[in-house]
Amino acid sequence: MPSTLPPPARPAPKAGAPDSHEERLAGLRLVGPRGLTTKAFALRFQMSYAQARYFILNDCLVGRRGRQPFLTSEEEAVLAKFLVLSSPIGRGLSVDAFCLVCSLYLSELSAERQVAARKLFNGSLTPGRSWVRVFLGRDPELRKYRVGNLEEGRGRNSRPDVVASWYALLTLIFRDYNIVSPQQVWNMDETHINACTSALTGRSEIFGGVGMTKPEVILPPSASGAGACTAAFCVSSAGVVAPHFIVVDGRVAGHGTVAMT
Amino acid sequence: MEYEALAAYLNDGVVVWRRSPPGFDTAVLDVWAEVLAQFACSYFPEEAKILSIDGAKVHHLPSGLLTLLRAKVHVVAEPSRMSHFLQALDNKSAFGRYQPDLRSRVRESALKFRDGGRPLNTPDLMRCIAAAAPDALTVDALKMAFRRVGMWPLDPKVVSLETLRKGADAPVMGINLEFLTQQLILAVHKDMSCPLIVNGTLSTAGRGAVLTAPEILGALEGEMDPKKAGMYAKAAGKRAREAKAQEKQLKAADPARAKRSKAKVAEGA
Repeated sequence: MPSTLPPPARPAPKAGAPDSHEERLAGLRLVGPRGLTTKAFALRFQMSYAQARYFILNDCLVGRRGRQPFLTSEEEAVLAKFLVLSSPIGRGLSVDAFCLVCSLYLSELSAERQVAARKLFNGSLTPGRSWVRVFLGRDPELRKYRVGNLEEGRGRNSRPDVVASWYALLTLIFRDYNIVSPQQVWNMDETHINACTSALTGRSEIFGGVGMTKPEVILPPSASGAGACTAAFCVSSAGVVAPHFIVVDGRVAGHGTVAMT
Repeated sequence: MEYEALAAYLNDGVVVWRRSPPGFDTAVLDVWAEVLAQFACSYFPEEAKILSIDGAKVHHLPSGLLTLLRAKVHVVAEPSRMSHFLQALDNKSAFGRYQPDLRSRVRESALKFRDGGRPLNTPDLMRCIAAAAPDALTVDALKMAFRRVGMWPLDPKVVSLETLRKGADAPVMGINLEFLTQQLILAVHKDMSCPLIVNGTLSTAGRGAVLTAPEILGALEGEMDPKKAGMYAKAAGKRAREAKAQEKQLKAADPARAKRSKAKVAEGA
């Protein structure tokens, strides 16, 4: 989800007023010692005196100008580049981790800048979440992503040579065993399901009156044997599924049966 | 009391096995291999088949592999810890559809039984699986899953560079996987018949392996021998302990018996 700040809202023009920004800019040229006064400008564009004064004095800025960023634009560019390079290699930073990186950087700065940083960040060298939000807003190239997890071992093994050697092995096997049709290629894997966890983690919608603060439903217990099971699926690339093989919980190993009462 | 097979709640040919905890071990894998071999013999029996599985150690069972080999099923183990993008079933077109479907069915069933005041039991779980599997693992979805991992049609280009960048110390740039695959064929041909044994077990770290190749089967059987010896030693130890305990019981019983007979004699006198 993008976390960029929305641009400052432009005040709604009053009825009958020349409302485009361009018209105001054109009107600004008339402001001067021999032209329009601030008061006349405000009247003409139906703004308050304070708004007109702010507009004239702040280079046509409509919204309120924020505080000057603590880091220079070069420093911010380096930080942004660091974020962009870290994320594709599985080392993306969360907001808190990014704050820590910034605090490490700030601790390396001169004493004067550290004092200034402490003044800005409430006595600490670690910036807060709002600072990160504003920082992201300044750089349109950065955005926030919901992230998945990848085990370290999986990440480490994902090397081009390993992947290429897997396909080389498949090429050789396909040639050696004369694999020419999709019904000759199969894959097997097991998947485990825990009934209780599935029921608890799943989400469904219920109807209720307006104003419910904590909508919850009660789930029934699961019988001991239904707690969990493992299913082994074997499928072919032609779309055929071999008979499933399911392992359910039971003290006596063997074919699964249930007592009918 | 009557007993009903759990497999009856599912489609034809399904096997439901009981074990605690409910997962695979060597004994269960043997049963699974027999079931699959039976199916393979009935489905295009003249054609050889390739079966790719992940590198879990429980799959390295020589007896199960031999059963599959007799049914012309050649088993290939994927490089370890890479099934997330090399395995068709792990793809979002296969388990990525099945698991959420099953979860939502389990939850719906649980909510339905709440009002009836009865718990969710094993047949209900079987019904959920029976409904979710055909819905999720459709012909088109499975074809797409194999295409997405580049297994059929064989296509290394489907693996994106973005995937390969994960875990790399520096961004991976400008790699042509198709070209690299062609370059590696000779090296892989030399390696594929050489089992790599690490810490006494077959390793699939960083490389795939044809588990049903004679050299690898031989290595797996050799690997099994010390394990079997350990199992036998354990069983022998258990038997010895039981015999000792029985002897001790007999020894303790002798004075008691003598005492009882003495008491009887005294009573008779």
